[in-house]
Amino acid sequence: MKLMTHNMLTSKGMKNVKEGFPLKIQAEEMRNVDIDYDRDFITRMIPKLDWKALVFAAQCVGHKEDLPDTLPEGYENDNELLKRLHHVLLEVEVVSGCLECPETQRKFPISNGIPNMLLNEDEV
Amino acid sequence: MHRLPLCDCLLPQRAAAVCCRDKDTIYCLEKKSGLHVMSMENCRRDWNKVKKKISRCIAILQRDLPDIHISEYPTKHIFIGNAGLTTNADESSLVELITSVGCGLEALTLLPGKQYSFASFTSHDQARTVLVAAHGHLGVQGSTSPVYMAYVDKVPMDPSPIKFRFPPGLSVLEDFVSPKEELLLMNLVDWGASPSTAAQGSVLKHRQVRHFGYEFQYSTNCVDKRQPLAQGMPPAIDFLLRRIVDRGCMPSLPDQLTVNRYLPGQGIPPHVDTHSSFTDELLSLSLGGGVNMDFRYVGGGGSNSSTIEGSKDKPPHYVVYLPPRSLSVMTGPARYEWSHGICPRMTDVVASRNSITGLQLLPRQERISFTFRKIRHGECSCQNARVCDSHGKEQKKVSVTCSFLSDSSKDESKRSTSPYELPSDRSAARIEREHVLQVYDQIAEHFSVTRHKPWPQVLEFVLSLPRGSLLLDVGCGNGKYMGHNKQVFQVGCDTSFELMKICNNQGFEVLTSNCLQLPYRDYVFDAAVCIAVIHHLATEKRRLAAVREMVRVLNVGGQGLIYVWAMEQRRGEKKSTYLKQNKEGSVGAEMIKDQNIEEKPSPNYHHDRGVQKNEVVRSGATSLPVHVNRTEFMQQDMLVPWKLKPPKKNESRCERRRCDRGCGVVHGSRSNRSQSSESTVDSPQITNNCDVLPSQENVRCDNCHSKSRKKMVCAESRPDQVFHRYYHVFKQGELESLCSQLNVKVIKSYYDEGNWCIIFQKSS
Repeated sequence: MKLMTHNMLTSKGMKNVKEGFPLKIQAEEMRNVDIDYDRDFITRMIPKLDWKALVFAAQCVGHKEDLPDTLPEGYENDNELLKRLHHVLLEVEVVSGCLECPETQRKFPISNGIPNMLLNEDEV
Repeated sequence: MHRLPLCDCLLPQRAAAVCCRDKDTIYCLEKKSGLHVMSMENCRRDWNKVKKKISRCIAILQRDLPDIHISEYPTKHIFIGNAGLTTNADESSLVELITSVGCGLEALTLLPGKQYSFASFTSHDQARTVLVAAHGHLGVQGSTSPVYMAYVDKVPMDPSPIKFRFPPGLSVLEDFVSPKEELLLMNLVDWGASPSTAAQGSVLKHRQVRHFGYEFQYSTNCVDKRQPLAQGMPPAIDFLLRRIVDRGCMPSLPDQLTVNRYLPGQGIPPHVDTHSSFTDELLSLSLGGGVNMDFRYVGGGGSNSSTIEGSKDKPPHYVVYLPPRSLSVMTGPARYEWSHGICPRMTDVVASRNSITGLQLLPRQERISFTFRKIRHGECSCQNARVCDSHGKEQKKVSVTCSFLSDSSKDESKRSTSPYELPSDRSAARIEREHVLQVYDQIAEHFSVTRHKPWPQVLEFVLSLPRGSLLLDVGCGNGKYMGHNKQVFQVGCDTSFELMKICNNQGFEVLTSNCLQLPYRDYVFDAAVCIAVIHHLATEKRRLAAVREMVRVLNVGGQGLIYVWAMEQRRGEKKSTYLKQNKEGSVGAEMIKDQNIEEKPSPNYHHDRGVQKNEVVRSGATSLPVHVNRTEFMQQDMLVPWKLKPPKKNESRCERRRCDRGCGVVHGSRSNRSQSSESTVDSPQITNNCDVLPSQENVRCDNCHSKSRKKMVCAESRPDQVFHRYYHVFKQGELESLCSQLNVKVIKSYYDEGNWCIIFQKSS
């Protein structure tokens, strides 16, 4: 699971959960992959992200130092930042571990890089 | 033409057939076609074929019912080897066939889950007349092949004869209106132009409906009590309303009227009218033609449950004939605990009034029903808390009323022959679990192999997305539509972990989830595709919920693409690839190439010794017919067989998915997005694994000799296992009407290779 994906995930499908976002990441096994850097692509992705959640996620997986707490103005021109973003968003992957709902602490396991967000009958 | 000894190619003999051998030529005189000249060779070959077919049928019979013996000489009982409940034959189509060539039919025996049936006659002469005329020659309506028959010494006991009985709480008052009044009432509603006759291609007819007083909303199964219709009860029926009260059918005047017009072949699915909307009495006046109404016990407790016959698995099914000009009154259990419905067919089998035993075939005529109800104000006071919806609690829901929208674009096919009982939400979830989720997990690899060529128009949609878009693939399966557009960020989800592993191996970002609860935030995606997914959901409510979820996660202005299997597999003259025979070995067609044409019963497949006709009853869930692959769909809801392909012989590596020794999984790598150090880059095709069948024991895997941790067995020697996937195929316009209930604008609506498709855009 990439952090880009994590930025979109919520446990709101469960009843009694209001936001369910962002999910806390507890990573056991991680890995890095190589993805071609596409500056334009990253630039276009940024407005779609929830920055705070991204920083939170980066923190969970030990990449806090890569990102500023708030998105700076003029980020489109900051190639260094964009490169780091590219790395954090697309190249860092959680292979196994779990995602934790911030409101109910329910854990969603991740195995083979695949989060299991299937809910039980009584959770819906 | 003088009579000579009959040549042996004509056994069993045709009525009025005369064979005369003249060198190598045979003249056969057949009733229908007149003089028919054939060479001895052809004649013999045809009959050899017929002999082979009946032999095969007999073999099946002898395996199933060894007590029944074939007779060389005519007896009173005929075995019909290839017409039975699983071939979609039923009492009325068999009676139709038999009575068209003979008489004296006393009884028909149809066994659930069997492809054969039996006909019993008053005398062996009568049986012979029928067999000689029909065997190898005539077919049952709707079948392409003739029936194959043989004489038998006895027939099995019919475990489920039609019960012509009244459920408790039902009364039928005959001659409630005079013939003159009947005419007046039938002409009360102007139904518009009379419908065209035979269907032109895929044109389907409505069951027409009109409401008076309050509108009965089929989609929510309710009445909006605050919004009476401007059109109250028509004054012309005042006399009828008075009579209803005077005769004590209802304590006060009804204030809601629904008029239904049924043409032959139309019906209404089984349902229970909501407790909360109406009071205790439901009245239905039948005008025009008579009809059989099916009552099924759906539960609810109350004091009557102990007197209901039948066991838990076999809910009673009673058939009640409603004659024209009769008023049926449903109260108590018949109103609250039994569902009622009318099977869409062209004929009804009714008890014969003239003989002690026997059945009579009654063709349907145009029938108009006036259903009178009284709006309930306040809570329902019934004793059936378990099934009552009016107390606002989360109750175990009873089958809801039909999902057919009145007077709207939703069409009703007259081809559907068996009444499908709509499941409750819980039953729907169970059907989906057993016949979708679990099946895909087990057939994942094989399924993936058959799903490699993407449909062009879906690809077009995906490739048209602008750079930097976020794309979601709901029900992404094996990732067929992922990885094509390198300029977008794409994620996928599906319920099957096995399929997600296949995606993951290709470097796609996926997770497991149910499409009914997408784990994504609102407004995040620029586009979403949902290909061949929502036809696996068992109720309209759930299908709508899935589309609603898809819309929820889209941005305003974001577009969605949905593909669902169409009921109409034929458009005009053109057949879809699903229907066509795979003679040319067509490349990339979305066909299950290794499917059996005929449905074979599998050893693991339970048949309830149940009551439903035309249906195979599963454990407690609703009844569903099994579809015969590569044929037209006869109904919207059914199970479609999938035969798991046996392993290829040149398979060198064993891929024990469940094996903890890790025999290895072949990694396909289509994208260059990720390079996992342990992956081996192979061809994109995932190779087959051995047949992995579920079993309850821990056994040694034959191939790699390791004990399977997850209790799976490699069983190459076992017969091919058949899985059944649930489908609700869509009719023309159904997908659109689903989307029209949401805040979307339909951009494009089209038909593509046996699928109904839609592109919509989120409005707000």
